[in-house]
Amino acid sequence: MASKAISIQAISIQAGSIQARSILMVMLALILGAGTALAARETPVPRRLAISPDMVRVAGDGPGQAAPAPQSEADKAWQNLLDEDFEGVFPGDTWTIYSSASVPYWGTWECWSGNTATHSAACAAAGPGAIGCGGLYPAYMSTWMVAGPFDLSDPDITAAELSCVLNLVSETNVDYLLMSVSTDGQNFSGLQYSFLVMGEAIQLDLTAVPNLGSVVGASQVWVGFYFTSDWSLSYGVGAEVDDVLLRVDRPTPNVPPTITLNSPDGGESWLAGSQHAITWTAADADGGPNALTVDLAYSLNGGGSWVPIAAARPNTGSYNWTLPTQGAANVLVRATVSDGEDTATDTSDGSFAIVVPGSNTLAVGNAAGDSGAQVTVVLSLDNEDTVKGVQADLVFDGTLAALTGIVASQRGVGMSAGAEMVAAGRGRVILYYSDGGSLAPGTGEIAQLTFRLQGPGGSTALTPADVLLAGPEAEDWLAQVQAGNLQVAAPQEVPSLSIAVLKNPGRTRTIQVFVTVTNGSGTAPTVSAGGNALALSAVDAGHVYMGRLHLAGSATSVTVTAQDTNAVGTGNAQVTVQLP
Amino acid sequence: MRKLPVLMMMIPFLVLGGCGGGEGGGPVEPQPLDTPEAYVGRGWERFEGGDSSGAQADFQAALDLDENHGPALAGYGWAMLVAAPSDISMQSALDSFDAALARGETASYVTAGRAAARLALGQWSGASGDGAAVLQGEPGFIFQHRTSFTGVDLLLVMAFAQAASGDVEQALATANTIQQSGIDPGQSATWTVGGIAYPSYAGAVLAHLALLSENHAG
Repeated sequence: MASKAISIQAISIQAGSIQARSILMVMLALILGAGTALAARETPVPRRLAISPDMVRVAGDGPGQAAPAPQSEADKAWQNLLDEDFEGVFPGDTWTIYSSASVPYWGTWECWSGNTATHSAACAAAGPGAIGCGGLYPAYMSTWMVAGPFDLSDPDITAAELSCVLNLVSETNVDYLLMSVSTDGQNFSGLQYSFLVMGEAIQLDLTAVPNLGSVVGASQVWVGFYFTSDWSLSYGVGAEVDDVLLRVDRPTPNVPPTITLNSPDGGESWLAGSQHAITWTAADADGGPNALTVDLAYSLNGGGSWVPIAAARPNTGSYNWTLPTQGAANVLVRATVSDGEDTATDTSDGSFAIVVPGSNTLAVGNAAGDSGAQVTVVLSLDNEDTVKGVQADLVFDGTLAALTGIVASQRGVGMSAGAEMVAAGRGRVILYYSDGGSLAPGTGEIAQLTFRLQGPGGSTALTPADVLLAGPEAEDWLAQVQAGNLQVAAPQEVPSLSIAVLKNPGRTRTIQVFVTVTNGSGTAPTVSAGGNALALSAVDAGHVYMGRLHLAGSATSVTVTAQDTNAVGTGNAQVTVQLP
Repeated sequence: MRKLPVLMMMIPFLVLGGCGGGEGGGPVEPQPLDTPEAYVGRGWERFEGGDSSGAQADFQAALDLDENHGPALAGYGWAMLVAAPSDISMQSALDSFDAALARGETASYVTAGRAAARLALGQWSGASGDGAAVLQGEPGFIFQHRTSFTGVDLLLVMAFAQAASGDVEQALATANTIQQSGIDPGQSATWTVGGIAYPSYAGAVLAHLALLSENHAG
């Protein structure tokens, strides 16, 4: 150890003349046309080198793991594991310095600042015989600047890179800088730089490290900067390093998409072969990598096996599904969304049923009678499906008949029943169980409808329309219909009319005139009040008509007459009311 | 917005005034008074005396002093209601009731008057709704300026409106609360009113309503 220190000291003594020679050699190289080579610097040499056992750790609290720098939005895939500008405490807890005894080693100074701020690391800026700005590195230097270990084992890491900005003046191939990595903290491999590098950025691809291959995947990776000099020429300060960056390419993890199946979500009862909308809500928080697509499938056995409905559908939120023709009680639908990388699935919360409709026929019977008479028409249902309710409109000639009532009968006893005219020539009947009961499959009468026959006589069909046949689980059963018929015999008597004059409360000068017609023509009767014609509107077509009249203040009474004519003759009515 | 209703309200007044008509007999010559309240007070006196034309003139005079005077608007509505010879003038009565209610004149007699006006205009559901609203809040309703107009009249308004809208069964139910008819829709033998048998259920119910109108309409 003592002799080595003496020889270094001897070289240091000649520092002044060596520096002058260094400048001379650079100038000579430029003159001889080596300028291009200098600008491009010499090709780095792959080299493997171990930290020598006789080297001592002279400074630093490492090995330590530097905190990753914040990720750049503009370069999302890259993450920095080490980002050193040498502006802070050095070596601190990031670096460990090794060196031979009695020679200078890595330190920081302000003689060259790389690309940032004021400081850089220089190979001979600290330790025994440390040089200052413009000084010459001594002979027999051997100094490591090591950081790590760093964990590159994350499988999402696809690439890694060690880089820095280097300023170097050294004796070619003898005195050099080694930028290197190691997986054991002892044996380093990398690229060797010597002669002249003028503030250039240099990189070491950690997927192709000389002698090591890729260190991506290694759980411990050290980075090391090594500088060495032999006994002879010294051209300048040696190696200055700044802006050391160890970064990994770790693409942002994909955010899986989400999906909620909205319908069917359990409890439905859909007819086999019918069309229903499958609806879902899908989202992708990071919008990629691809546009969302949805696969749909169904299971007839509660999820035991699945049958595709549609694949790679655009995320429209809805798909019109034509159900299979076979029935099943334990059906599920499954929706799977994909963003091209990840998928998410939602299945109906509960099972639903696909029901095969039976043959159901709603039939309206026939009736005949005189105009003015009431007749009964039988409503029958031949149903193979279980039925909870029936609603149907009956369409007919409104001048010949009016629907006036309904009574549940025979098979329909127990059902609530209602009937009303919803328009002239259109009556609506409703039969339903309100107590949980249902109409088992069967054949025959379920209700009797009452029609009032009116008008001049003739025939009209009773045609069911807008038939709704509901099952116990709100199934919408298909139904065939069979129309009935009404034969209306021409009236046997002249029309019978009655007039009701309602004097409005408040002693107003307003009256309402109602005319009720039996055996009438089917159209509004001719009415006059106070000698003037009064327009009537139908309250109950063919039967009841009404008009309003304002009277002059001087009137003390008003006489209302009504007249209607059928095939037999003309009927008349007259009423006189006193006014207050 | 205000000009049209005021003009509408003026039409019957001008016509009647020009004819010199009036239930009290003789030309109406409203005496100048100082305040809307004074005109309204005299208007109701004339209304109660059967002089709807004079009452109308006083309520109009009150409105000339304050077009937003709620009691005057309500009085004008009643004066118009009992005299209106057309849909136009009846609509004026309805507008006046609406205006009175909009200005906070919420006494039952205003809504009751509107119910009658709506019935006269063929606004069946509105008439029935107004009648029901008054009776719900004041079952023993009596119009203080014409005590013959009571809750029975409001029931008649409702029954007439229900019949006109085709709900004969509900009309009978309402009418039965005034006087039981004994009419049963399923028993043609009960379709008799005043000793006259009617060939249809609807004819019997309407005859029953006509009888109530004759006996009870105030």
